[in-house]
Amino acid sequence: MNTTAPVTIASGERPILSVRDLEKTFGSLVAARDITVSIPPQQTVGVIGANGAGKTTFVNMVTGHLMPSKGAILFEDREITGMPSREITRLGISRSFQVAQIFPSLSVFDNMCIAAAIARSSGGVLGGLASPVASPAAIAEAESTIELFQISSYRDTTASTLPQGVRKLLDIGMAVVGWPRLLLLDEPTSGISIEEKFDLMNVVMSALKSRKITVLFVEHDMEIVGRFADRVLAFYDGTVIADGTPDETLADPQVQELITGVKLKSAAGAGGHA
Amino acid sequence: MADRQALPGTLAMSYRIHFNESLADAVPRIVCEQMERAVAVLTVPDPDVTQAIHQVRKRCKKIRGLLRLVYGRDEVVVVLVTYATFLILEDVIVLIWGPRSYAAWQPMVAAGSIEVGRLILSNYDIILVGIAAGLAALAYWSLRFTRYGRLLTAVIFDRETAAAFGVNVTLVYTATFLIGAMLGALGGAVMAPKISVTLGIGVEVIVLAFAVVAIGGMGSIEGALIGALIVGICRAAAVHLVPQIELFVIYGVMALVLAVRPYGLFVRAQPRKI
Amino acid sequence: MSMANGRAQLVGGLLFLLAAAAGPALPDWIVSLATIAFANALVVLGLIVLWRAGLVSFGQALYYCIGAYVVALTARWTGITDAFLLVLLAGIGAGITAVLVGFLLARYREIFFAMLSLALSMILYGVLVKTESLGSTDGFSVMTPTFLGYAPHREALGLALYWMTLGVGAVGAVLVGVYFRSVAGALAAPIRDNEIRVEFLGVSVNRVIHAKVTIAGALGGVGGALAAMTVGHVDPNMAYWTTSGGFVFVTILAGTASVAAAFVGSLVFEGVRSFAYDVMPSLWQMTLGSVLLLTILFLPDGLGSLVVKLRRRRETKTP
Repeated sequence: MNTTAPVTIASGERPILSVRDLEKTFGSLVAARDITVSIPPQQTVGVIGANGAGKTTFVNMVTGHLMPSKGAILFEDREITGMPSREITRLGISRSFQVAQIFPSLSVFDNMCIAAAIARSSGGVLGGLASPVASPAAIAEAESTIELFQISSYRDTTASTLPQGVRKLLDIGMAVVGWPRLLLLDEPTSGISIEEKFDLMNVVMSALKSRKITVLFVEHDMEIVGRFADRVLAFYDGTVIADGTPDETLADPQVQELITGVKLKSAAGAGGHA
Repeated sequence: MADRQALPGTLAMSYRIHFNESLADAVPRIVCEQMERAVAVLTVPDPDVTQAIHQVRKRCKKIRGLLRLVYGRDEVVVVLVTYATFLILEDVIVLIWGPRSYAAWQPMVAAGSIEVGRLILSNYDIILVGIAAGLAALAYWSLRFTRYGRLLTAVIFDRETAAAFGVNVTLVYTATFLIGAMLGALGGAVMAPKISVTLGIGVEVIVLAFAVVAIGGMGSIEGALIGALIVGICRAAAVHLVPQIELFVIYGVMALVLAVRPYGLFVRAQPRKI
Repeated sequence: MSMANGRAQLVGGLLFLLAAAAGPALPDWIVSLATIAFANALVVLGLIVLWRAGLVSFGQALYYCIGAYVVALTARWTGITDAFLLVLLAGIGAGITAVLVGFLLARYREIFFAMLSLALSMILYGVLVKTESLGSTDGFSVMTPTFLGYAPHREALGLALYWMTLGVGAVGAVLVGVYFRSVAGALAAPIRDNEIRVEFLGVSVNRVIHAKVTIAGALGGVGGALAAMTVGHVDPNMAYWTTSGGFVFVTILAGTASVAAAFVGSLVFEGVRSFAYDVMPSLWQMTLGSVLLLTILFLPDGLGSLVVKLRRRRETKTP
């Protein structure tokens, strides 16, 4: 099993996210175990694995939605294990969701504006009381993020009526408007048609690169993973079974056996799906 | 109507509700429009089948987004409607029976009493306990073993999925509401011999019933039984020792229970899946 | 959006001044009715703060009653009769209660929140009814208030209370307006839509709701204090659930779209209630209940939404 991480941390460079012996059990069900990963800043990491392999559990633990049963999570050398999600967000880690979590009754602009205003406020109730929501700074941030994700034509549309692709972009945009340093994307292309997946990922990735955000994205489409990831983590049965460049990981025999399936040499060039 | 013309570049993706159009007219109109466009896409031969299917999917999503806008009426509307009905019924009661209070002690006296050791117990009270236990057993059994009970459980769990499976959600809700109302009326009827029957006894019992449900957990029959026992005993103790703090004691116990189990003794919190 | 706000504020301010100026010219009973209506409007403002976040409180009467009894008891036990001081104390007393209640209440939503708030107000009712020293169900009267040393009588007193209520109402309206334009106030709709996302954006939803409960409580207490001084009497009924229900009624009638709606709606409600009680004393509850039912079913966003619709139609019609 090839587990050498070619994207080693350069000596002296602090990893942005460091996870040690992470484990999560629900009663007798072990959802995640022995996860130890170090991610250097500005790397783009793809996470693959079948449903139930522990990918979303991992994301939920890092972002504070779940409390790990064992292990430690460090963000820029600071221990964040078990912190609530709102504090983790304030520290600089954001996430998007498998099912886009937006505010359906508000317009796209209002969605983005409230996210921007929250990011700019200090977080305490009194601090939040003091700052006006429609401040010029928040509005500017909202507008520029809407443009960055190329959804300006939907600016005044009510969010509940958005097509799926725009929903996902809004969801990610709201996570990004506060300039996080680490972003976790949970299946950013789920529910998107095959033709539109690449367009969406192009928009998302160029947006994130322009803001120098370290990205970890969960994905089922191997072509997308191959195209956009610098490094790929393969999950199986709650733990990481492979960790390397996309080529290495996707060629790993265990990964091929358990996740992607052996690639058939066919003329149609069918992409792999897990 | 402006929305019939496709806006350039949007493929007529949005729909509009006109200001002088009632929601009751707009929703069916929009649903029909979307369905028509979906069918039109399917009947026109399109070399790219996936594209056609995707267009149809988008139409259906549009309909769902609209339905969510209209459908998402708060649960609390039920409370408000009940309050309005209460106001109306109060005056109806006065119209029919007049504003005086009534005493209906005859059944209680007729039932007599028995001696158990040094206690003299009223037979009527024993019958009441029996009725309550019987109803609890009936409720539990019908929830588990009748078709209606299983439908209700399904609807409680996931209303949208149940509706998608063809369950008539409105009918289930209506039937449940009626059963609840009948049980309430039955409660009042059997209690009448023990109390003074006047206006306003309904609300006083709500305050007690709510404490019971809060302690036991909403939706749990066992919880209702245990909660009722706890509330009954606390109340009897308070009335005997310090009558002023009767409600205080009951709600103090409730607050203690909620501090440890926020959703009641027999209900676990359901974290939302994201 | 800020243009419309500025204009609305100007119109609101003018209406307040108009109402104040009209005071001396109006008959006593209208002045008294309006004073009560505007005092209640403050309670309704508090309800609107909560309602926008999806929370319906059926127990604002708790704070209303506390505010009223603080005024009555402070005057009786300490001899303080200055209206401004009493109102301030009432607001603080009710506010502190709300902070304490909020620790429990802010963790719940929807029906549980509504019923728990109802229950808490009924507890106070129960305690007051059983307390003989406070007059039990009869309550007791409130000493005549003074205004910074000035002690008016009769019509002058009525006018003084009227102007004071208008003034406090205006201050309350402005403060609540500022709150709605702040981040915490604007979070109401997002919290109602998707609490979890709000948490992930970096906000403690429970704390924001706790703050809203406190604001609503303080407003309720101030309203109760003003009402107590105007009526001249306090009794446990001020904590009874029908009092809470009345505030909820006005909120449904007025809608939550604007601050002004609370005042207009409250005035309309008081007028209708007095009228119904005079004309058909045996059926006034049924009338109210029917109006409420019709409003919920056919005008769920309240009368305020009609204004919004009319304004929008006017805007689209202009070429």
